[in-house]
Amino acid sequence: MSKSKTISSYLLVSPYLAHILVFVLFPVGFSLFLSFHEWNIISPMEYVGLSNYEKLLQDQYFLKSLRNTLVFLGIHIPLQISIALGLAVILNQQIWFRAFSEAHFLCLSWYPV
Amino acid sequence: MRLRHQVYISCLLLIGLAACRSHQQDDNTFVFWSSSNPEEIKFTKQYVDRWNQAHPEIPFFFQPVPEGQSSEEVLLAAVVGKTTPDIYANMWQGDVEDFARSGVLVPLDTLDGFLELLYQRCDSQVIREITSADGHIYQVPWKVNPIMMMYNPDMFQSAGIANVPADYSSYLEAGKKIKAHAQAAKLGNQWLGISEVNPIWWQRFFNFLPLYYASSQGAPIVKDGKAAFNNEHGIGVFTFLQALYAKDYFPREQQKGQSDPFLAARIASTFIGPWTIEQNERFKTEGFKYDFIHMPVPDSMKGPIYSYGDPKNMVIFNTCKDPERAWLFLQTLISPEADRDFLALSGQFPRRKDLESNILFADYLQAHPKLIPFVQQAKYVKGMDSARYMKEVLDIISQEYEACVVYGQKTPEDAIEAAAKAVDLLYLNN
Repeated sequence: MSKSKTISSYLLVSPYLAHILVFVLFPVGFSLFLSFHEWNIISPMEYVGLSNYEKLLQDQYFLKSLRNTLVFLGIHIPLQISIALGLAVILNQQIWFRAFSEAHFLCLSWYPV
Repeated sequence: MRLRHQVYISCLLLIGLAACRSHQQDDNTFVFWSSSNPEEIKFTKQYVDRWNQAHPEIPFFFQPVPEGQSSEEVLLAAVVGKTTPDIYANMWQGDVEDFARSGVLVPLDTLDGFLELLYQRCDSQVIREITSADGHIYQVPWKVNPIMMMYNPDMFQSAGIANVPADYSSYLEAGKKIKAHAQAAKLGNQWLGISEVNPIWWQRFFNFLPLYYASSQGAPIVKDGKAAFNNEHGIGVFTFLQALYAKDYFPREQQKGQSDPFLAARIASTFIGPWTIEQNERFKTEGFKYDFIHMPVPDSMKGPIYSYGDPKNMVIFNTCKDPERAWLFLQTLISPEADRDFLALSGQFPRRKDLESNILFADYLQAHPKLIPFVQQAKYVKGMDSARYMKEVLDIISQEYEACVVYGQKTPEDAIEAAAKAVDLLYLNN
């Protein structure tokens, strides 16, 4: 690949990379950093080591919410994959209204949830 | 969720910018924020104008607190942006300790004449209540709005309730009679009372908190960095409130979008402050009667009956160039004459110990007899404990309140214990 093509490729993906950096990587990294600190915005930040994790483990609802999340994912992910894969296989067959159905599913995925 | 955060941050920035704009005054000008209540604006404007005429060398610029989801958020944004006013006159007492610990408030007890005036104005219980953990006082106790039970005497009478229910048993008995009477007379849905079920912290000002203070004679919620409500009073209040919902004496739905259910005589009682009087007088139908009594108490209760006072106080921020001069101005807002004007203009009570005995207030109270129960209750009110995280504490109580009181998913003992554990955890290592 020529040098100019490489540069233009990077330029093309740069908005997406900037978005990921500002709205995903930075918040995740900063949250991790904050988890070792006590900070209420108005006071100076104070390093507290693992104290926040100690509180989390002692929280009566933490393990319960973790279990609920795992149960939800255990049901949600297999259902989502199997239904989506099943529909994709059906749409890939020679069926009536195939183009209409494909367009319909694509449009649905654009709508906000 | 991400969009919501972006909108939230943008709002905070806009508020910060608005605050910056309002701060662009002459360097000598002091900035004063009041609440956005129209009556308070009128009162504050009157006193700021008077001050500016008498002291043109120390000018004050006044504005209501900028608009936001809550005044607490606006203040937080202003502190972060270092655009706080010199004086703020509507500070919720539960916020003061957090601000004080962050070093953004001026310790008022270091100002000339502050303690003398405070001891003249307030009793020792109020002074204890507002003294910070570091021994300093960062707030001027300004106003209170005691929470009491408002009731419809005609509804009680028609249901065969001879005496106004004042304790838990008689209140529950009244609920039974109101329900039976509404069914027998085919009056449709009628309830003993209504209270907000939303699990947001400040809604506990109108149910759990005043009932807890009434039952415990103003015992603390938090003491020495631990939950102090896991006791017979906390459990008793949850048990009482749970029974009201379980027996269908209180509706779980909020009747929003309809006419005021109390004024429409669908609800026989509610827990509320004196601000309701003005609204009642404006919207009640001819001949509609209402009255006030203290919060319901346990059957065996003896002695003075406390309530939550919803106190709002004045503070000076450390961005103030000359706190001594700001204090000079503040003294004009809490003089006996200013307190009388404040009461007359806003219908809210100055937090002073001589409210009932001082002749200055007598004329106004005589002309407004509906306020007299509140004046009597104002002698026995409690605000918030002088501890950090009080909003979080009330949020935790609210979560358990919803599970136990409203939906009956937990026993009162379990719910109060769970809330106390979570509160203890909040203060762990702090």
